[in-house]
Amino acid sequence: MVYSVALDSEKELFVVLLKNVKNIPEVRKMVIGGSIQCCILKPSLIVDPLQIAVAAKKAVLNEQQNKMATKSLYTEILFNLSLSKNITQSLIKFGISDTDKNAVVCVIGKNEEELEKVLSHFQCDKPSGDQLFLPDNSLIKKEYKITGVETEVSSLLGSVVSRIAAKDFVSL
Amino acid sequence: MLLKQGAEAKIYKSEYLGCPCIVKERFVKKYRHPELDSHLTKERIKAECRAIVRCKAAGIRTPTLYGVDLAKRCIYMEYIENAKTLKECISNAVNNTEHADGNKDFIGPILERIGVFIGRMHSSNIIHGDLTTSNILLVGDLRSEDLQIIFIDFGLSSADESAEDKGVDLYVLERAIISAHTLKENVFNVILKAYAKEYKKGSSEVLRKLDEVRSRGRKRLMVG
Amino acid sequence: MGRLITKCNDPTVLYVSGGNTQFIAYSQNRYRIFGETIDIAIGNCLDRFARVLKLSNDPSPGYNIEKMAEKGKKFLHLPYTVKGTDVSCSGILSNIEKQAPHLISSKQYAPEDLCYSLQEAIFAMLVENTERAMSHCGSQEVLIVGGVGCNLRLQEMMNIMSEERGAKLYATDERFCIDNGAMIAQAGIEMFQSGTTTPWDLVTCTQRYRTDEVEVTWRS
Repeated sequence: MVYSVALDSEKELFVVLLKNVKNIPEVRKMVIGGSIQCCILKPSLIVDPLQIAVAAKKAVLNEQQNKMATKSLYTEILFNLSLSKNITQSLIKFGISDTDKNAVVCVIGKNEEELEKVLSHFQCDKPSGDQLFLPDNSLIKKEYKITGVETEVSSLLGSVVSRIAAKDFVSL
Repeated sequence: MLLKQGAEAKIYKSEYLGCPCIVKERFVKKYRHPELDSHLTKERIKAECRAIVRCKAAGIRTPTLYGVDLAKRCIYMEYIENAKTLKECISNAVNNTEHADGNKDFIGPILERIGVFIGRMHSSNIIHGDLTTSNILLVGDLRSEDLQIIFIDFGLSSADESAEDKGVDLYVLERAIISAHTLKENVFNVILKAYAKEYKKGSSEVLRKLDEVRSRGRKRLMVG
Repeated sequence: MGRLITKCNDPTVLYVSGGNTQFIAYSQNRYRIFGETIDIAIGNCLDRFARVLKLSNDPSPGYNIEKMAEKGKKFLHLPYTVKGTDVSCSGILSNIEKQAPHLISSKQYAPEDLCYSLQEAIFAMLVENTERAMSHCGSQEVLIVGGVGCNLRLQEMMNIMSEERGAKLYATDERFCIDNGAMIAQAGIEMFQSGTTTPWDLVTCTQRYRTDEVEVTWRS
């Protein structure tokens, strides 16, 4: 099941969850080397694809206004997802690690063909139509510093998305 | 689609990444020096975003923030369906338009909860800055415990320990309630009581400041 | 008095002078103070800064600040303080009082620039709150009264704001902005014509009536 949403008039975001990926180290090298254009995220820290969309839209806006903190749209998404102002930490925290088995793959492009091209490099189970994401809620709460009293007045997704949007102005 | 136009901003209903949202676009104020205007607008946008997130962390319901575009002077946030302002609700209760039995008792519990939320806000040193009855939204059945109370419009907010600023926050709300509605005077006390109970540490000083602010106008000499 | 001279109907009033700064709207037989300064009046703030710059008191310190400000070019950011429906001037005054000697002696800013910056900031605060009062009360008219109301830049700023809202600004000239006997007489006529009289032997002078303490019997 592919999640897709328009980020602006030309760019669309595609997000898909892959299970039992066997060649993560190999694909990671290709991403770092630049031969595949995408970002690969740790599923445990993703509540919902909207979280990624908010980070991605912010990245696209910053790119347009020449205000990106990192060098590429994809690293910018990783940076935006994190509360940290440290780029390296953000990439490590949210980016997939070699020991992960599942992966959330994000591609920004004009159409789903570009997504298919990227996915062709992954050796994994065929994406199924069931539950899209595998968040670890307590890990997410820790990462985004969400405490008990906040959960009374906000959904987890609402809290996370608000923090991503306001990151430049708030330190929690 | 334009929903509302206030003194500070236009509010549009729109969509953000597939979610219904409102766009709050702050005007350029041509009467201001352009540097002042640009500076003020940015400061207010930042203050609003900061307060929205910090209120959530403090246990106060605010709209979800989706995005900010400083260059366009816009904030994108959650569109809240079926929201009524506290102002409307009190008016309706007073005019008996919604409840034939004229029973205004449901207002009491709502005001108590509002007192609790303001207590939480001030405990976390968040000053709303424009706490009027138009800036408190109610969603759901007014008589139910599940009624959602949502605070909005944080452009003038600040982070401050000052008891005086907190007193002014309460004073603005008191005046908003008194000037718009012919309710009995003790209505505001319901809020204050709940506030004091929630904000045990600092409320007594704030309430003292509130008294000072209330009498300040009366004491001021009107000369020249 | 302002209503008589300018023939406006139900304006939101900005009352700015040396001793008072209030945003006033009429409702339920009283002139309600929608907002005001929480510390010093605008006129007082300007006069005190004039003293810091050692400007002449002739014809008035405020007038001389206005003239200096007209020549100002460089804008200095000063603390802008609007608190809900009220304004605060003591912060901005103490800030500029503290900075001025150093800024002028180091030639970073000319005195004209400082007058300009101070006016732009505090008048913007006044216009902002007047606009807020108008928004709240649904008013389409603004009237400026009081000595500071003579300031042309303030009138200009208020006018720009009003036009953008489709409202109209009324301002009197200096004969009626500052204290004048005619305005007292006018109030007397209004009260008399609406049936309020006081026996001669009960007549005294009270300087200090607050704007909203007087019951207005001559308006509906």
